[in-house]
Amino acid sequence: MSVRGSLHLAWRYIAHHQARSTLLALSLGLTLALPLLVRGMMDIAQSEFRARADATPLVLGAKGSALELTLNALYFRRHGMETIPAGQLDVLRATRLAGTIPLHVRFHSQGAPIVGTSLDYFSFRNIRIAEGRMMTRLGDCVVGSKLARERGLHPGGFLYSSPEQVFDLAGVYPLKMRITGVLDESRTADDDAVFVDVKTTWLIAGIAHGHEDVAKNSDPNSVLEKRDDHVAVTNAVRMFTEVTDENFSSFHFHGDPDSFPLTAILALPNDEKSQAILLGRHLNPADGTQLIRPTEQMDALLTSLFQAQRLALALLVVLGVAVFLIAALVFALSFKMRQREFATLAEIGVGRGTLAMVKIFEVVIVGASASAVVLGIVWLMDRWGAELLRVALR
Amino acid sequence: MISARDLRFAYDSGEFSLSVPDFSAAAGEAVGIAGPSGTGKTTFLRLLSGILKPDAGSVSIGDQNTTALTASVLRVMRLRQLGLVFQDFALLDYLTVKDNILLPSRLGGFSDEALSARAQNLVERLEIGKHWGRLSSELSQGERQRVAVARALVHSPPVVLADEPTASLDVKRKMLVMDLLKEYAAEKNAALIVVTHDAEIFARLDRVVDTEGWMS
Repeated sequence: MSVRGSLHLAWRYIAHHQARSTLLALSLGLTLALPLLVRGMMDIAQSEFRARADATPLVLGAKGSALELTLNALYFRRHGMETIPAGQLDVLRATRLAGTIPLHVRFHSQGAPIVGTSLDYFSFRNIRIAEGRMMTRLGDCVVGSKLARERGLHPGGFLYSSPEQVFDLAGVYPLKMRITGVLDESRTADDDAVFVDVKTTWLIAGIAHGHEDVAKNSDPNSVLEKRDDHVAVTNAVRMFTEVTDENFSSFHFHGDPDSFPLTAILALPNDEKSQAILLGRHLNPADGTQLIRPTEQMDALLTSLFQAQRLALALLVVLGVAVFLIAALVFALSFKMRQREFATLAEIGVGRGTLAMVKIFEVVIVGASASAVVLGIVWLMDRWGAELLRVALR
Repeated sequence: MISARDLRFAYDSGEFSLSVPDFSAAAGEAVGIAGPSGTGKTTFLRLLSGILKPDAGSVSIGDQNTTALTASVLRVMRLRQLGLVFQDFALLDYLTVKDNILLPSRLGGFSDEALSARAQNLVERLEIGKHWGRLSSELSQGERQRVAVARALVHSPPVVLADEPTASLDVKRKMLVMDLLKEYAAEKNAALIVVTHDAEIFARLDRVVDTEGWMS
């Protein structure tokens, strides 16, 4: 009995039927890899979700879906979030129990979320500027590392906010934003976002605006009526869609700043006691807000995901058994079809053990190829799994 | 070198039975088996090689009674002591000429460099050297038949059993193969038994045995 000879014959057969063998190895490999893939992605999801949620103690937002609020505040997902008035910042600050960071995540720039916040956000998330400087003025923005890399953005460049509706003539004007800096890579949702001062998002929303000086304008097409305390103008007055050093002073807000919208406020309690007090006070608030702990929301989400995972794994095991049975059938049929070939070898004098070894080697070679597919997929998941998850969460 | 005594064999279907009183081929002798179709020539070769087990009688190779051997010992004996040329060539389509020729020795675990060199020499003699690395499925019938002949001789067996080894060949190649087989038998002092219908081949053999009367 020759092991080398049997291996050689098995390999020649597999190599000659490489398309069929590759297909079989891929089917087996993918079936075997799927449960590992699901399990691995779940582990990555868990650590990714948990890490960001654990780092964010409390989030204040409008009543409604706590999970949506968490996803909006932590991952900047925009789903028509209800807003809370900016005055809630002062209400929270007045308690002296927590620091506050405003968030207004409603607009986007060609798909990338525009996050209106304050400079405190960056020290809270421990993100530094990698290139350029922080935003200092209305209309300035800093961009996440990945976004900058993908779109070739650098300080000195510009980004436009995208209109919410293409045909909404009376709606939000696209704002040309000056890029002042690019952030360090953090491997979080921050890498994909555009950060501006929260006032800039109010500017995009049309709550603030800048236009030419109507007091000096006497064109009847632009100015309808001029009195000491009041000027009535028409749409012909030129609105500024970019904040510059020259027109900066013309930008102004209309209305009560306390009523301006925020999608969330990150509340950073002084200590555990402060956190407990704050949560207690918001058990049943009458002001239409809710104070949530993102960790709890993520735990609930992950519990649901784990239940789905268990079901998926059970189904995948059934699928795996089915594929293995089919593979066994393929081998059995293949050996049956080659009965004449094996009979010839036996007539030449090749022993039964050697023939059995040839068959076993064929199965082993396909099995080894399937294992290589599994290893490749596991390696890819290990290398790109987190990235893939972030893309899926965009 | 190889002999049969009072061989009797019947297929399970009972279609016919074969009865061979005495047969022998000495070392270095080239013996032809001739007779009309369906008179049991191929069955006789299969009995001699041990592929079929006789109902009665015995086959001996040298002084070894092969009918008394176990199936596994008989297989090893067949692999090492016999060179078989099958009527249908019995080549594996997914193997190259080289791999087909060396297949029995590889699976028998006695393949080496010298054998590979001998195989190359044989294919050159049989005028199929240029096909050395090609798949056997890409060859013509005549070329495949010559590969089968090379495979039977490569491990220098003391007995060669060839079933219609020239059936697919033109006159020139037919003589080429027969000359090689004869030369082999003489050089290696091997017994050569050739089943054939071809009268031209008879002239190249030391003697011819007629199968008439073997069937009932």
